[in-house]
Amino acid sequence: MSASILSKAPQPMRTLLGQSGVLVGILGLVVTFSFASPYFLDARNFINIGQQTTLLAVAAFAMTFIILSGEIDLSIGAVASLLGIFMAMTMRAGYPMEAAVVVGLSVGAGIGLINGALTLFGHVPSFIVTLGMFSIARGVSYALTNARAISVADERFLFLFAKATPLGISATVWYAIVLFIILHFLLTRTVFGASVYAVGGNAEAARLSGIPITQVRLLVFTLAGVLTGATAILLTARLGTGFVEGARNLELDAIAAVVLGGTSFAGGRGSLVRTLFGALLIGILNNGLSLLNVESYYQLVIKGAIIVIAVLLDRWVAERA
Amino acid sequence: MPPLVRLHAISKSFPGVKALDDVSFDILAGEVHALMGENGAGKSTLMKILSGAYQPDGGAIEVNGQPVRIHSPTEAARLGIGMIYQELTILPNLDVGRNLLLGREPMAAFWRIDRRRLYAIAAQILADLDLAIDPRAPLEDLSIGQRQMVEIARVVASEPSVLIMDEPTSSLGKHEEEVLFALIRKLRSRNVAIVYISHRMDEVFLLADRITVLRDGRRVTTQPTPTLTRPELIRLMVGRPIEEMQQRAQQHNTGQVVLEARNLRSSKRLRNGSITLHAGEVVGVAGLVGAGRTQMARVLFGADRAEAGEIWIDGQPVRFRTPVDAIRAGIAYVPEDRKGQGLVLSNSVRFNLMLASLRNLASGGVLRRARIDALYTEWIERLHIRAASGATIIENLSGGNQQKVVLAKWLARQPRILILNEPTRGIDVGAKAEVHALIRAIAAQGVAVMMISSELPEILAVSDRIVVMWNGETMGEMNAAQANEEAVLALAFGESAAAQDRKRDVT
Repeated sequence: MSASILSKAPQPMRTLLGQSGVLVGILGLVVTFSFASPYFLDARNFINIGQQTTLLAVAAFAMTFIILSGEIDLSIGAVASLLGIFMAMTMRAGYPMEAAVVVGLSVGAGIGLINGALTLFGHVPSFIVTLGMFSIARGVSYALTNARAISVADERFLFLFAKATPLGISATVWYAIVLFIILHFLLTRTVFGASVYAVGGNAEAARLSGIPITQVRLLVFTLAGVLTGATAILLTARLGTGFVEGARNLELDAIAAVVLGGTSFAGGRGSLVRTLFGALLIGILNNGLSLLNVESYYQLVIKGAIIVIAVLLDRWVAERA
Repeated sequence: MPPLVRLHAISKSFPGVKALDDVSFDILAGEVHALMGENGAGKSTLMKILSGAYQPDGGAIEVNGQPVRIHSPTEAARLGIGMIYQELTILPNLDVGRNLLLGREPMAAFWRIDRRRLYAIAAQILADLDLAIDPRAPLEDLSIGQRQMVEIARVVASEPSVLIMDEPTSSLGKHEEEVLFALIRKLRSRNVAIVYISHRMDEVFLLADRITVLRDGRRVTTQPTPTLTRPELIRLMVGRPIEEMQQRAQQHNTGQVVLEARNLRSSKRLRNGSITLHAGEVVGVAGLVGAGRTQMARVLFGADRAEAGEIWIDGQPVRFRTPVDAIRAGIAYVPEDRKGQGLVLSNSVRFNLMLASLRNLASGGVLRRARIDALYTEWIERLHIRAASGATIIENLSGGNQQKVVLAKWLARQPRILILNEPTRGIDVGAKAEVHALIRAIAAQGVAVMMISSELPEILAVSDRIVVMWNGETMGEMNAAQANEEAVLALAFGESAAAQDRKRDVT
């Protein structure tokens, strides 16, 4: 056995170390907040954190697939808001909630496919394509609503996707758990998942190994679109309305969750487990800062600083190891 | 007359290779000095040291009798040393004039470029070199050959006293070649010293006053051109001791044609490539760097489109649009750039082994753990791949073990046709012998193997038949049992078999 093999710890160990950074971060926040606020350790607050994290987590799942494949999607938040408005309008027009759900998921898939097609066939970087899509979705949302919220009166919709609490846990959380299990399986146990890692790790090697890289990338964008639709369903049910600012900055929080989890921004390396922890970290941070009555402007400042510092620390530790 | 530039006892090592060993080389004002040698002989390294791109480990450089240290291409330029690279370094978004005077533009008031003067100077430069190119033409409108001339003109315009040309004619047409040769003669008459690297014998004998031959990082000889003949020159370039690798393996050629390709052309330096592969046979593809071997392999694998030519597999015409089509037809391709094209470096050994067989390892799109484990265990054992575990990140393996993983990835698919591009590049001697034995064993099982290699001893030791390419064309082929290094190298330098016969008749 040569020395070069031993110079870096094998994968399981590295994964553990990679995740421990996030775990230490989560633990540190929990300790800090429980001393700073008497409400933080309350059971009801944990349910709150769970609910707040799930929306972010589902959006971050979409972002994980995108980033693993070596791309980026800046349109997730604006598109989720737009899809919420579409669904609210569908139900207001008298259609059943099933129709609204189909609209949310299929329009989401369509938008994802468009993002992918423009990136791949138009040879425009996904950063630019999705930046444009962000603006378009925003604009259409304003035009449709005149910046007013459209309320959802369908009780079945609200119950099924937000108010129901099987086993005392919010429906939103259950959906996120189910999605996590399905997507984790997809990513780690299927031909598609392996292809995503290959395309993001080295697209040319993947192509020369017979992996249909264009199809894989299109599928990733489409899947992200469907997951944006799922986010929109949970969001609209929670808020009871569809409106333009429904998912403000969601894409940025999702990117932050993926990166904090330790998924490589260059693609090809990372996992959904990591993203889940990353989302939890951001959820706890948001919740704790609100409990401490930190003004929302400063919350943004603190959040931004913590994200950058966390990644810096991670780099630093990784280089010393 | 003292030499303009003197390189004395230059040595340079890279990890695992001694690229230059005690090489001395001098250039006189007003001469064309050709630098000849096989791939990897050290020509480019030596010139990169002279032009400041590399630092020598040992030795001294003198310019005009003064000892100098050249730390960067900018310093080389200040000393009057200009280099024209094989790859174009001009900027396609600017016009001819702007390119010619890049970084030395004449200025008007307020830091503006004086365009009138710029184009006047550019026109003068072009006229001086007898180039019929409009200085205001955007570079995109120029042919590749014209761009190459602009590149040359740009360096010449800085009036160097030493001009290094590395394969300047590789992308030129016949007429442009004539213009270039006239230019070289003109510069020589102005007392410029020219170092000329070329793989084309005709040019060297036409232009050079002296020839220096490098072999395996050492200088073999420096002689005036009239004292050398072509066969002598080739012998000097080859003349290495024949290694123990020479033992001939027995042939397994069953005679059945598996793949035939005729007159392949692709946009990238492949003009007329043909090859026939038989079951159970190793065909070595020899040639110099840039001869079009990789381009032919990529067309056969569907990685690049063919503009012309035909491919038959088992006598049936085929047309590959993507590698997926070629893989389905039973072709496997091990690329020369292991890290850039062969492996997903950031992932594990197990993952990389799976990569070409994903469909076979799954049912209904779901990967089967047991099949992956079986694949891993089988190939780690069969190719003696040394990795701590399947989860080891492949970046941490040695070059030899990495290459074995790429090979195993394809062997796991049981290909009928295996195309290998520089299969032993950058791996150590022990692993090399293992890979050679492996290639023979694969052929023995009836696989048609095509092996591109720039190492002649490897070609001669492993192949049953040898195909030689030169300048984008298949020049000829020979049975390995009757081949020797001189014959292969003569073809690789563009000496056609017919021309050799003619010379043999004369002598």
